Amino acid sequence: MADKQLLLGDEAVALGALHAGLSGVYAYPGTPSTEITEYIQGHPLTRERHIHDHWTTNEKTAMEGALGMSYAGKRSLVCMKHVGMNVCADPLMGSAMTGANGGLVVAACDDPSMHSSQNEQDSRFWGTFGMMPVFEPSNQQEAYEMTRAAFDYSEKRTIPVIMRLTTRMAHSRAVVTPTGDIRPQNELHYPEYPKRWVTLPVNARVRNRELIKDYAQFEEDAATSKFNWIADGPDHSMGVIACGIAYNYLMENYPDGCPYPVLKVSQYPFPRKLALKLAAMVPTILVLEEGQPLVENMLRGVFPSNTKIIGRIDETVVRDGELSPDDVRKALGLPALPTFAPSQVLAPRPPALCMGCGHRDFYTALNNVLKKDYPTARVFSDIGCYTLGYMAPFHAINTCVEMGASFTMAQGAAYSGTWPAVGVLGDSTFTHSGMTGLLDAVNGNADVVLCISDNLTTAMTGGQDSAGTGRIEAICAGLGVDPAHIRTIVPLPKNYPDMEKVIREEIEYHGVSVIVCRRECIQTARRHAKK
Amino acid sequence: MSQRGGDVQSNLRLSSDPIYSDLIPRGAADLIVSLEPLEALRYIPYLAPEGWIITNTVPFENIPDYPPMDQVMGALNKLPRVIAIDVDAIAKEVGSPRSANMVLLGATASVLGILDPDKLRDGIRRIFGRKGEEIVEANIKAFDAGFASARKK
Repeated sequence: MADKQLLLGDEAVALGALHAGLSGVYAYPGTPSTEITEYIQGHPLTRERHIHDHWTTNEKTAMEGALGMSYAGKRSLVCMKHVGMNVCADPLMGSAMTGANGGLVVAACDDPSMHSSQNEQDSRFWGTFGMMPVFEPSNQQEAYEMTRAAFDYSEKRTIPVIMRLTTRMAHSRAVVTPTGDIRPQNELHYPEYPKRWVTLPVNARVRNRELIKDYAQFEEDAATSKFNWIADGPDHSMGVIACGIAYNYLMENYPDGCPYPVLKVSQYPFPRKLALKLAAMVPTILVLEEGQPLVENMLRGVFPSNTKIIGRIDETVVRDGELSPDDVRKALGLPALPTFAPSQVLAPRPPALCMGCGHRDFYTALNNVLKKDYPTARVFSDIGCYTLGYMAPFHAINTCVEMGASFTMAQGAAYSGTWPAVGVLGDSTFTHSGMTGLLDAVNGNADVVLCISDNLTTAMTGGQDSAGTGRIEAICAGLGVDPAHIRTIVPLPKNYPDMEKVIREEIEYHGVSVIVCRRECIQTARRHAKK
Repeated sequence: MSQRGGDVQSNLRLSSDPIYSDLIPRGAADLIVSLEPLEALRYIPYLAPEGWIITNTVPFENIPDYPPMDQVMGALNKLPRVIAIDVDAIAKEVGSPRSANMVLLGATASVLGILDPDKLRDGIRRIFGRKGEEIVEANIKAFDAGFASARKK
């Protein structure tokens, strides 16, 4: 077991889960979480042990599948990016009420600084919100060990555990030495408290009071956890609370050891006992945490306190964005290292749709029609490669909010008098959360043109399987779209006249039109050609 | 991002001591290794005062406002320690145009100091081993050519 491996934080979580006796991983791809599931899919133990490893349609179905596995006594892992937590919020909050039977770990990978996301929400809040424990590793070795510990803890306290990673933890490689034996998988066994799993008010009220008590126990556990500890330092003019990878940025600035007492926190609920212990040693506490000021807010009361709290809220630490060793250095009052000034000879190089990508040809044809003949048109899109249609030279979309919002927002605008109201999403987003919106459009007979730019894959995250491949038109017809207004086109420059004709015809039809614009992603096509 | 033509960088840290931060602080990078000159320039605030820039000189122009090359190279050459080589040409010369990255790795090995170039050659053999001896040798050749060209500078 003791062989060293070079693993991403994501892969360390995956390996930890495999070694903890995992029976199923449930996930929808999303940066920076995708590699957890991909690692499990590629691991020999997965085949050997018949571990369930198919991508799910969205994060909600993932969470529910995993909860079902937990009900049946097996260990399951759910993985997603931070905004996926919103999609699965209903079963996630419900899972705190049911509790876990087989160990249930929810890996949420946050993207502060929004490298590849629409917001920088902090998944630790779900722990407070739902009364669930949260684990937040600070390095890859810890990610491995904490994942194993999280499964054990989940079963010990019969509660799902949220494993929170941020971009640099998820997407950075370091040496991991696996520890302990590879644990056998659980046998099928049903919950000890069956009433919890039926959340009728009569049961839920009882369970809610239990959960409140349990949450206090989780905090007790966090106060004595080996992942949370105080290290004293010679300089008691200040203390530092360092959460997750913020601890790394603190220590980076003190190669010979931090002079201040430090409380390192990697397990929540936040252990207030340990904070009081630190506060008894120092007059001022600097809070370093990646993401939103969750701990800092908790420590800053409304009423006067003898302890001064500094951190992101008073902008001792940069208020938003991911942390860096430089931000922390500044917050510690250390002088900046000498650097070369940024060059004046620079130009930004933003990502763009690949040359030869089908989305390009779709947007070109759409623009040719709308810009020329329908200047009042609005195009509602959402999240995928095709969002890059916002950038030059296309400037083809007016909105992007979250997955699925294109089809539904187009309807809202159409009912308000927008014409033409066009929705654009991709095949994977369509099955993720566009289908239900399409049913709304059919039931309301909305005057909309809904376009599915189908590249036969989940492209933005690297080409994972897409849930509806080969069945897009059948799904639309099944939801009640008139088959005469389900049109399929192939996005290629030579087809522009035909594509434009179809788009025009469907704009002029005052009802629900679906245009499926289908050509394989050139990245996956290239990979398939090599095989 | 890279397959969509955007700028991409990654941080690599090697040490016999514990490494805390995965991110390299500004002013602390010993090496900036770049397959593209404008991209090398983008990250100079991360370069340590004694640090080296190892860069390809061939631009990848996928943006409308790519600065004039003489300005890019002028700004790079103002820095104290720069190895700028035509990686593409060297790779072609040794008959392995797809091994431009190995040329750059070879050039980097010439100033790396803490790692024996033979260790890197072993690594190349391990990575490309399953593709056959021919591919391994092409990559080693590209690596050696990069190493030699940097030594000449």
